[in-house]
Amino acid sequence: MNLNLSEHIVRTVVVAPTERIDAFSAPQLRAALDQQFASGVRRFVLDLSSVPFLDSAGMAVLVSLLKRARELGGDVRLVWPTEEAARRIIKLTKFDRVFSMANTAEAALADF
Amino acid sequence: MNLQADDLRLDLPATNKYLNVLGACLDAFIARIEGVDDARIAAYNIELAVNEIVANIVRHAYANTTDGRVTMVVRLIQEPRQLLIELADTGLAFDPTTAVEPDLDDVQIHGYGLFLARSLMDDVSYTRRQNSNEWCLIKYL
Repeated sequence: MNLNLSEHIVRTVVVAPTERIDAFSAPQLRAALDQQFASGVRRFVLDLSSVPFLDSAGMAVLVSLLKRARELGGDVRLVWPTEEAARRIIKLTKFDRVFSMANTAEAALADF
Repeated sequence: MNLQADDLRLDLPATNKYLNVLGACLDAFIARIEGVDDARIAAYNIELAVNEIVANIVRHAYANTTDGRVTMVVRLIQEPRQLLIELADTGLAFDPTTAVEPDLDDVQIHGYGLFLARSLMDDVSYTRRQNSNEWCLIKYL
């Protein structure tokens, strides 16, 4: 039998910051994500489990990432922060309704 | 604000670089207050609220300068117990009409800062003095 086989590999990058994301550090995260976009990545897992603090500048980076990824045919999954107060902020701002949330990076990867 | 004996006062360059210093200071101050319910969450929320106001000061009040300063005074008041935080700067006046509440059902990139501060504190007020801005944040503990 003649078969035409083609394999499609879609890259997904897990980004796991381990420091606070605030108005000072958010531009560094944005630059790192820009670099990934430039290399062709369209699917992202942003693992917030080790992020001790996230402010509105960091949240702006998350929203920008989501919009840009979706515009380019990709998507974003978030891993819940471990810090309970940060989890509450995610809920307060309803980010958990906009982003697909997961408890671990592995679960987020499996969700694509 | 006239300082009282137990007040804590910080005077910082108005730059985002030192947001973590404000946070560490508030964390340490709150850690020494006994009997705070959910102290870790309270400290996080207060830190975030202050962080948002100071980031706004850096971005907007000092939009035209890089050598501004921000002062923070932290005071614990009893009966009812509350943490009062005053932030002051000598930058441009804040225009409340520019602070639009975010539409939480339509995610957006900007506009969460003041919303978070107001949501996480029991009271947030702003006063324009002759040559300065004063923000007063109150959280009952």
